[in-house]
Amino acid sequence: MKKQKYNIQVFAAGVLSLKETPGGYFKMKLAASGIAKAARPGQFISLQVNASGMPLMRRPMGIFSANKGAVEILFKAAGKGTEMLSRKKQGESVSVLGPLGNGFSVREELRHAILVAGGYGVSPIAFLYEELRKRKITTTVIIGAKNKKLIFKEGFSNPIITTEDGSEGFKGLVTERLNAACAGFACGSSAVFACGPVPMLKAAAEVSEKHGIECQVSMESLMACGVGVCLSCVCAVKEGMDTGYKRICADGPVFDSREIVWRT
Amino acid sequence: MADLKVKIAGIKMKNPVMLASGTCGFGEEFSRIFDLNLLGGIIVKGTTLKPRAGNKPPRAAETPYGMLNSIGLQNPGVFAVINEKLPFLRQFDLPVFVNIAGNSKEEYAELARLLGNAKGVSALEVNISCPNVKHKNSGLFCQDLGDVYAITRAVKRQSRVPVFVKLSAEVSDFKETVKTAVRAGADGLSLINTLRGMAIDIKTGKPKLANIIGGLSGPAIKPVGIRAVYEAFSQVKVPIIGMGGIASAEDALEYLIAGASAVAVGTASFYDPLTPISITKGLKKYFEDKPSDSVSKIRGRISF
Ligand SMILES: Cc1cc2nc3c(=O)[nH]c(=O)nc-3n(C[C@H](O)[C@H](O)[C@H](O)COP(=O)(O)OP(=O)(O)OC[C@H]3O[C@@H](n4cnc5c(N)ncnc54)[C@H](O)[C@@H]3O)c2cc1C
Ligand SMILES: Cc1cc2nc3c(=O)[nH]c(=O)nc-3n(C[C@H](O)[C@H](O)[C@H](O)COP(=O)(O)O)c2cc1C
Ligand code: FES
Repeated sequence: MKKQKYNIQVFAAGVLSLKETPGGYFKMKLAASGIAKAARPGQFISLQVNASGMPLMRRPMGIFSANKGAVEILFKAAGKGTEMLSRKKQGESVSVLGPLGNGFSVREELRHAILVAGGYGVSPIAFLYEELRKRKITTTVIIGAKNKKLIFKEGFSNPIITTEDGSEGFKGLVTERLNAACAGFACGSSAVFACGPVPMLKAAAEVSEKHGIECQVSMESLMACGVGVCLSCVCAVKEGMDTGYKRICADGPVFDSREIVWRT
Repeated sequence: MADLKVKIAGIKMKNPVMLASGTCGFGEEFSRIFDLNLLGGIIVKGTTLKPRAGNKPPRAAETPYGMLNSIGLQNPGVFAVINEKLPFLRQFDLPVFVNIAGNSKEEYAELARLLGNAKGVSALEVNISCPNVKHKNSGLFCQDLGDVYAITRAVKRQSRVPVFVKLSAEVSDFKETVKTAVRAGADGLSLINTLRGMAIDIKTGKPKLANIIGGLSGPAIKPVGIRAVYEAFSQVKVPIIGMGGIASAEDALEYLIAGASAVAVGTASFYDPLTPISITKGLKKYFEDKPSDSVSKIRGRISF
């Protein structure tokens, strides 16, 4: 019998710290050495916010950092589950499942990366940014938000900020800044990595494709299992002449933008 | 050590804890989390003759103590299942039940012929209760006693392995449905499939599922499953795989006492993939404390 490799863990992780951050986020640090060692940027974990079944499903969260036996997540208290998560205390534990998903793929030839983040999409982008720095790959970081109050830019040096109301950085959407950034780099040795709301991902895909630059988008959906067994989290993809479906949790969450069939 | 071994329709299992169809794929994913050899058995995803893309997303919604799904039987088709999925499962010491779904009696029969002869299939589970595919009058096959009889009979004729018929509790005469399946030759029953439900986003006024209606599963439906198993056990002698909201050893015991011979874990695996392992542990402990009892002895032992 073939020896099986157990590379997805599920266990009760201790909460090492929980802090509020600029942009209205919560940053939670969890003791999870196995996940910290294995995790790649763009992967996520899934947390059981309440063991008594309300809410029933785990909540998926991108990995913000993975260092020295700990994993950090960055989240918004957006609804009942994340609200409960934001009230956890240091020393309590939360069941985590992970690491999940494929993560971003960084080609050998990559010399320059353009990172585009919207909302909590900044979390996996921050992890990727650290990784690229270690690999001496230069970056242009573009962070977009509705207004100044929602910006999280900790850890990035000189990010380009865009706000819809102009309260910080450039007024408008990330698209224009991305367009300018793409124009400055050769397509073969650069790539765009985007994580954020779907309209932003779609716009990032269009701009990158126009410039002939590879674009990786991190998709999201409601997830029941997070590991690929339930088929609830699919997105439409091009399959030859047809449309098929791929699982965002297991085949993604990161996809080549050219593969996605964007819903209008 | 308490012995949890069971034998259903001639199939030997190490313990009575299985994984329910559509909630464990074809085993690959969970094999990355735990040792599949610890399971009593696995019931793989609903398989159709041709590959199916499934329904449009969103396909799931969370509900109180449960969830709605409208996956629409996305699967790679019977040939890919035989050539790509079953070989993987053959490396485990694990009875494999293949769940089949068709659009007609003929399709079910063809699936039974192909899978009944495939290597590594212990039994067939005939899904005539899927709420996510459209049948002639947009109801479920199992809501028509004529269809229950004809499909079960057709599958039985073609299959070389035992046939379990999977029913919904959403039928007008449940006892009669159960008896019809057994009269047509079912070697066992799987009870229950999901119950049709709906959820609406009050902010947008839109249904939460693209398919509008989906199947409700999870702890919320457990009492319906218990009732179905109890009623079926009162009518027929064949083994019953009980399912619907099982998340703990206590839930499993409740199903066994209601009349189940084995149980299957579905939705609970989503929020805790180790549920089947903890259920097996819990059952071991239960029977260690009661050495004169066993899984088969407590079957149907309700004290009124
Ligand atoms: C791969 C992945 C990575 C994610 N990473 C992060 C992250 O790093 N930080 C973060 O804050 N959030 C992240 N999310 C989103 C987060 O999982 C949801 O916000 C969360 O599940 C909402 O739960 P809730 O109980 O608070 O909200 P609910 O009360 O369930 O719903 C509140 C609102 O959130 C929406 N929602 C529910 N589930 C999801 C979901 N899975 N994705 C998007 N919207 C949802 C609902 O439609 C509703 O509008 C990620 C989601 C995915 C799929
Ligand atoms: C996402 C999902 C997919 C399912 N797919 C199938 C299927 O393909 N065939 C089938 O017979 N039942 C399918 N079911 C039903 C389950 O096998 C089971 O009967 C039901 O969910 C009740 O058990 P539970 O409450 O433990 O989930 C599915 C259930 C869920 C939640
Ligand atoms: S969430 Fe279950 S397959 Fe992706």
